[in-house]
Amino acid sequence: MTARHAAPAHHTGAMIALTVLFLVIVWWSLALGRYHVPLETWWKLVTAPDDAGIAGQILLQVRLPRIAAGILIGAGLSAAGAAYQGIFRNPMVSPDILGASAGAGFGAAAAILLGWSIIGIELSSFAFGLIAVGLTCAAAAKLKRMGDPILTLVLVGILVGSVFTALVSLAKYAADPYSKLPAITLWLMGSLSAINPKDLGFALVPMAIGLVPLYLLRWNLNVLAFGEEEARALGAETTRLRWIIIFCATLLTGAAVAIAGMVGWVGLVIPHLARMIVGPDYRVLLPASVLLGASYLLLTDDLARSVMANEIPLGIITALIGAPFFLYLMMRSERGWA
Amino acid sequence: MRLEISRLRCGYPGHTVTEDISFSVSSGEALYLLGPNGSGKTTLFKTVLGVLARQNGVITMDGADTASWPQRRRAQYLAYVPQAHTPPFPFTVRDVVLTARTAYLGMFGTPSRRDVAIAEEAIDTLGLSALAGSRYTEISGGERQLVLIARAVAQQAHFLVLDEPTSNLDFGNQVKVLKKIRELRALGYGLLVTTHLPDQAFLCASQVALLNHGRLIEIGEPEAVLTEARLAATYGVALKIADVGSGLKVCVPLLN
Repeated sequence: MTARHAAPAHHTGAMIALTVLFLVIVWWSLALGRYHVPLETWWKLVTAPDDAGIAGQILLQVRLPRIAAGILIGAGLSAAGAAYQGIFRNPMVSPDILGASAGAGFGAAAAILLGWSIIGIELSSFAFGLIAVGLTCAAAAKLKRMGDPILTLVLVGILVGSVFTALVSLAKYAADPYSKLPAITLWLMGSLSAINPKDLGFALVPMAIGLVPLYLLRWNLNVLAFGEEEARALGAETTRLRWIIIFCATLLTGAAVAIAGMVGWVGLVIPHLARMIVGPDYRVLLPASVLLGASYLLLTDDLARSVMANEIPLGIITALIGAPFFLYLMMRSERGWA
Repeated sequence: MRLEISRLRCGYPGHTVTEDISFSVSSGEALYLLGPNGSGKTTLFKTVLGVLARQNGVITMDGADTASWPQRRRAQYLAYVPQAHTPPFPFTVRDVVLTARTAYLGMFGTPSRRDVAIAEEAIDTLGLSALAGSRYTEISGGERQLVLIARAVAQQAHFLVLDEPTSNLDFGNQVKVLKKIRELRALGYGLLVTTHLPDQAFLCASQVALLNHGRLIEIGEPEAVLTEARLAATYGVALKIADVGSGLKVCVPLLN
């Protein structure tokens, strides 16, 4: 195969605009904060990191990791949402709706309760995310004859999600009220404030393992959107693809939940917005979702750390934006899915 | 090319739907499959396409057993034209047709310029150029059916498997699709078509297979297979077959 790919050319402009938007938001996020960092410090950081002083330390140890985490989580949750929507052929699903987030949340809460390391939290978060998605799929498949499959999957996902939410409450109930409970509670609300460079390193690996295959399989996501039988007749090995994609999307969800807690609705809102901008072709939609998701999460995190004197947990902001958006989508759906 | 099916048993795990099915289709032929609802037409199709695993029997392509073929290779020989549907996302007509090229891509591949050119050509062949950039979800049912045929053409397979290609279409669109089916035959494709309408078999088929309760009742030339007595027995209704001139036959039901 030659490298000459058929670039869906008409979207080049939109992709450039999204990239510029992303870079501007990154720059703005770096500058934003209670501690003012003059421009020279940036230069010093690059040329002579040891002389950059406190401002340099703040940038390196606090602001930069936080921004990097925001980018990873926004990109990861959005890519996961876009991928789930493709393989379930259902524009209403997302890590939240399928129960993946709640499952991953329980896995992480249990691991925190047991005092596990960040790797343990990530693994447990991923494992329970996968269990939750598996339960949702299995139950929805059993209820196939119930009518509207889109609605069935959404309802079953909500049920599975609520079971894991209850288990999270159980974990909280069992937690030491002075040390573990505040940790779990704060983390559940979703926040990037506690990110440190070491956690970031551990999150990078599962994010890469999840994102790279999804990007490589972007064409197959288009094909799978036509349904199992048609995709097979078109020559796609659907069973293998489905497993790889569910694995990757859940890994991304688990990693995001493990480092930032329950940052909801990103995986639903962003792929939709991206689809409105660049259309449903995953060759463009997936990169567009990644860029838009990273921008969106940075922006909401900027809000979280600048609107009030105390930080607002990120998950609260994304839910306040996401839930009304979901309602808007439901109203729009009368006229077909965007 | 010759697609041959012998003693095929199809069905779902633990449940057999059709048994002892044998027939063959060669390039340029059109085999029409008729039978009441639930007679096993769809199950048979899925099995031939490799979507459903065969329970027993052999499917060969020019004598080569296809049992161990990867799905990708099978798709290079057999293309599926489903009933016009609405996918959950508003892909453009061009993107829908382009999915045909999956059979020629590696797992991580994306279509090349050449693939796009092949898709465009197929769109042109079906006379859909004006719609290439339109949203597939927003065009008419008849146009959608033609787009799915264009996709099968872009798949560059030797045999096309069409599942009730005229269902849900108005009369004008049905005729358009039937004309295309004839053209495809003339272009050398081998066709496997299901229909509920004997008239269409009279118009387009080179062979007709009548299926009931999962068994092949009769196979042969349309005029020989589709007799009043046999159709009446298969569908349980009274009907009349008439010659409307120049050898063309039509089938009408009798309501009292």
